[in-house]
Amino acid sequence: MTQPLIELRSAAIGYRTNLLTGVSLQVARGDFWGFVGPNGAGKTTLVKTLLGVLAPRGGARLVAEPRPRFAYVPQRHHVQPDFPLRVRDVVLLGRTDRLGLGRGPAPADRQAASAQLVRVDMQARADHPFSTLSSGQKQRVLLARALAAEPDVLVLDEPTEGLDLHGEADILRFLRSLHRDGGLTILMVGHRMGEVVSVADHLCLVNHATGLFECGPLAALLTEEHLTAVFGQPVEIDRCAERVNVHLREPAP
Amino acid sequence: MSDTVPFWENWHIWWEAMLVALLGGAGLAYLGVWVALKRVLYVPLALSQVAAVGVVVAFLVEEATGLEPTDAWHWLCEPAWIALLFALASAFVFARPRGEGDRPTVVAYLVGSALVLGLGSFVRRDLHDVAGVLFGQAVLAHLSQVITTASALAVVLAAHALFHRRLLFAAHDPAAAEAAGLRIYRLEVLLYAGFAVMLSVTTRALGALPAFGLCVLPALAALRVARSMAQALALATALGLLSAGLGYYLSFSFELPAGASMVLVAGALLGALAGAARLRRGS
Repeated sequence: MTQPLIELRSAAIGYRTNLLTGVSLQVARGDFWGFVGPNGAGKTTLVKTLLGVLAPRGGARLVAEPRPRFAYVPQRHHVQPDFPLRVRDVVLLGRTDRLGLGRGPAPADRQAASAQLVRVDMQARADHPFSTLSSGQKQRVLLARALAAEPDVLVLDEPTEGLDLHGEADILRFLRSLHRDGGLTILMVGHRMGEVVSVADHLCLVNHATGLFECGPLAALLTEEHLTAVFGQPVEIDRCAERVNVHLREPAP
Repeated sequence: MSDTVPFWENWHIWWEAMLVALLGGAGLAYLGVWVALKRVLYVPLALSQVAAVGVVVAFLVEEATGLEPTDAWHWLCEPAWIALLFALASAFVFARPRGEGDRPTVVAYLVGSALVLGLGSFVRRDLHDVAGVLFGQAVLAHLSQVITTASALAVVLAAHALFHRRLLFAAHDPAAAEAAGLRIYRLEVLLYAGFAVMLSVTTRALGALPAFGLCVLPALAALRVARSMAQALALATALGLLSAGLGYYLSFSFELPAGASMVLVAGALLGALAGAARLRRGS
């Protein structure tokens, strides 16, 4: 069996108190994990623990050697809005940990940043101020910044939040292609089950208020019987092309 | 204009104070860009107050130990060092994640102000001397203050030259920077230690009001028009130099309060650039 890229073993996670305990999870290279739960369920805390930004309060976090390179795309409103940075400058920040102290970006770094701007279709706006972009455009630039780091693991926190249907579809299509064509390991937090299961191949259901923590391959978890048992209410799953809709069944009148 | 004092003819009186003002204005305005972008505008005020507590403590130690300026161990109660130590110590607190918002800053400012007044009442020195050492007077300066201010500026600029991109990433998006492997708390300490060094030196040399004003106003003015970080830092530094230099010139020539003149010039420049930015957006 290949060594997992990241593993949590019987971990307790949280900031000052335990949000979730007994968390065990293995992320293998090339997995696409979706983390789903209501707002405040502990999804972001769990993902930050996997990233190593937050130390587990108990248990262990194990990481493969050589240490994988992580790139994180936070929720857009967590990025400081007033900085006088052009789109190109923001993407170049993704190369920061590759630069020596006192060194600016080399031509190779600029090429890598430009290539990612082309990939997310933002090259025409490379010299525009980041602060003037729309939500969807900002999201694509932050994705380009993450990809410019050439990560082994890409982590996204609610990447479609606040986007219109077109923007949401664009981002999900892009993530699907990154995973299928590039084999990138992706961890994505979302609070809409349908959106997450449309792209992920592994699912993690989280809700610290009810003590829910269930993880596994999508095929095993995404069944009406299983979700009905988890949520205690009848659940329906509709599949249409690459979209999956998961909703609670309306009670009969 | 017969009431004006000849400026250039009296250069031997003001050159040291002018140099301190220019060096301090440039350094404070450069750091002010980071202060403004991180939205920690009250931190310079709090750092100045904490440094002032250090000065009062130095006086009390000097009086309690009876050390004289000629004694070999007198450096132990040198106000400049103790003020710097206090400010640096508080930088470690201000650098912590800001889950508590501005509370630590406001508490440090209020407690610092109260301690200066409370402990200051036990200092037996002449009150005017104490205020001069605490808050500076900006009109005159010694060569030692020129050297101290230049050294502080050199240290801060060297640190920023080495860590600029890391500081920028950590300030713009701390979560992503930390995930990429950057040590956010260490970078924050470095940034706040720079504020502490520059503010503790310039507060004593120029005064609390000009130190705060030169830290905030030129940076806010530069950020109204700058299109890149390099532009913002260069323009803020230039505006800090202009505010300090022109402010000192006006103060000397028209016998105005030096610190207030510098702040008023910085305020006027902010008004002019804010107006220009509004016109540009409107056109």
